[in-house]
Amino acid sequence: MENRLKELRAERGWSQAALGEHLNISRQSVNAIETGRYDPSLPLAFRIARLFDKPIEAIFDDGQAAAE
Amino acid sequence: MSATDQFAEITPKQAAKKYVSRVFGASLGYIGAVFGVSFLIDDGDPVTVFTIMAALLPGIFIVLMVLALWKYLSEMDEVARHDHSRALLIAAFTVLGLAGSWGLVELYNDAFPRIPVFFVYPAFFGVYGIVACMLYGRKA
Repeated sequence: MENRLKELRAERGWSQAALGEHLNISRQSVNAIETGRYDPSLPLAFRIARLFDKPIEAIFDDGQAAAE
Repeated sequence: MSATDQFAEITPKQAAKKYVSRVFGASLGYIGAVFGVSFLIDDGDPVTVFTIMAALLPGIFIVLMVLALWKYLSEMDEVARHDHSRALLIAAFTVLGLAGSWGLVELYNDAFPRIPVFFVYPAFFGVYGIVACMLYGRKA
């Protein structure tokens, strides 16, 4: 699944560690989500969406929206 | 462990610190127990309830180390838990495969050395540690 986390983080001028502190996850975990190595659970995806004040689908893209 | 654990008050750094302190304490207890039991029991001593109980004493600290890891798994964030769980499975399958295979070799070949079952524990944690570093430390 692709996501805009890195882009949104850059807009706020946050480092991976700073974003991790906001989400209460480690810097390595932020990196794993940004690079697509790990897809977050629904509760964590909601937390990310609320932090950036955007709907989940504006941050995460499973590639199905364009196909439908 | 629930899907909402990552929202707990404890931070990843605090969880790691607590884990290290728990394991450090259990390790000190283990070393002390091994030295104590080695001092109390000699090779030629007869088997008694005392020697069996004393020999089990270091095992208590091994169980405490395993419980510390279990607690850490519940306190780490979900990404780390995912990687550590995979590392634990890989370690379990690797050690099960090796121990099972070696056991059969021992069973059918008297010339092969007997490896004490005790070594399953350090082998498991050795493989787990290496794999966890490889999985969680990788960039993408």
